[in-house]
Amino acid sequence: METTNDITNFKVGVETKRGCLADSPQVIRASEFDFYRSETKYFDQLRYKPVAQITVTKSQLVIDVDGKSIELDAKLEKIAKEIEESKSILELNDDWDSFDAKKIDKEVWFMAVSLLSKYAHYILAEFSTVIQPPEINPVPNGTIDLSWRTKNGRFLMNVKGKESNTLASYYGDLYNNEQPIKDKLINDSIIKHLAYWMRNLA
Amino acid sequence: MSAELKEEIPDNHFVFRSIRYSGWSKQNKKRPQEACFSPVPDGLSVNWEKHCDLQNVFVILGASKNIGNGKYKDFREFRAIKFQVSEIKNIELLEPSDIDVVHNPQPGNYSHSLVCYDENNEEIRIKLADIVEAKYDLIVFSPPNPPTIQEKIEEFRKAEEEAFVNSKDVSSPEEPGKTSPQ
Repeated sequence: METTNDITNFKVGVETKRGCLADSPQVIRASEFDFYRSETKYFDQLRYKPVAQITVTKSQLVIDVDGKSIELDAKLEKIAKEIEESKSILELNDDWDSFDAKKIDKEVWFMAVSLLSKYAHYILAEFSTVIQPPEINPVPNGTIDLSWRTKNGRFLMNVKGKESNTLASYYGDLYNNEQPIKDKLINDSIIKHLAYWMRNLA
Repeated sequence: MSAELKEEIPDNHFVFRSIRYSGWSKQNKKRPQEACFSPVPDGLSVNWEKHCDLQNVFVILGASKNIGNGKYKDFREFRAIKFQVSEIKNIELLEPSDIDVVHNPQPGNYSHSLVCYDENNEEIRIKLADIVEAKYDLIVFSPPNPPTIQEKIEEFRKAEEEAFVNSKDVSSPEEPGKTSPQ
């Protein structure tokens, strides 16, 4: 796992005729800035303009596997560690459970950890919440389980192989069957209500 | 008894599911990984207690071979979970889903049965794992009296190897270790 630095934030504020900042400037993330910039109308309405690209550095954790890499925000260090440890799954051969289990394909593992990383980042960005790391477990049918038990809830997501029509299926609740959530993912696009529910995994 | 003869398993009966030590949660050693409840290819393999007591569950394990390396399994690496059939069938689910426990006798293992459910139903797997955690002290067992189990395994292996040698010239028999004692 490597650490890199990146400039990611902008300082924005209300610019006056003299070019000074009238209100207290705010720092926003680059990803949010792109959103504001694309939404011109909203941007004008707020009269917010970028006045500086500030050099706030942000650590990132980078995990490499066979030329592909996954970057994680430093706040997601525990998840990065779990992903790093789960690389050992790729060393399993056929029959790894002594009951004819299938070897775990690299693509399936990469899909699983990418999906985990994507949701963890989204939840961090949208809700300022850092979710706990799941257990990343191989399943005898060649798929990967992401399994959580936290103070508030339990959640299981099974990430499938290439031959499946769905990317993943999942179930979670806040114990005693409260606020259950259950469905399938067709692709890796963020499902907002799922991400919102996953705040319970903090 | 013929391996083809299938019986109905009553709801108040018990079945054993064996799980290797490495199949338990890293965070909580009293909870199996949900991966251990993946019902593939045809269902979750269990042993029906009516035809296989706890000791024999481990004898069956020790008398069978790993498919990958051809070596006999070490029964000491396993723990057995004892589920009541009704407990499995009556798991409270968000949507109705079929869960059944059916007798599926195999050559040399008449007690073999299957717990059948949709392999994409993660709700069943997570709830089975949590049942085990909640009742761990009552339903999870290590091998009872390992020396006796080992003795029975040795007897079985010896008998099977002798049968293999004797039948070599007669027909194409099963390789020793591919069947298990009842």
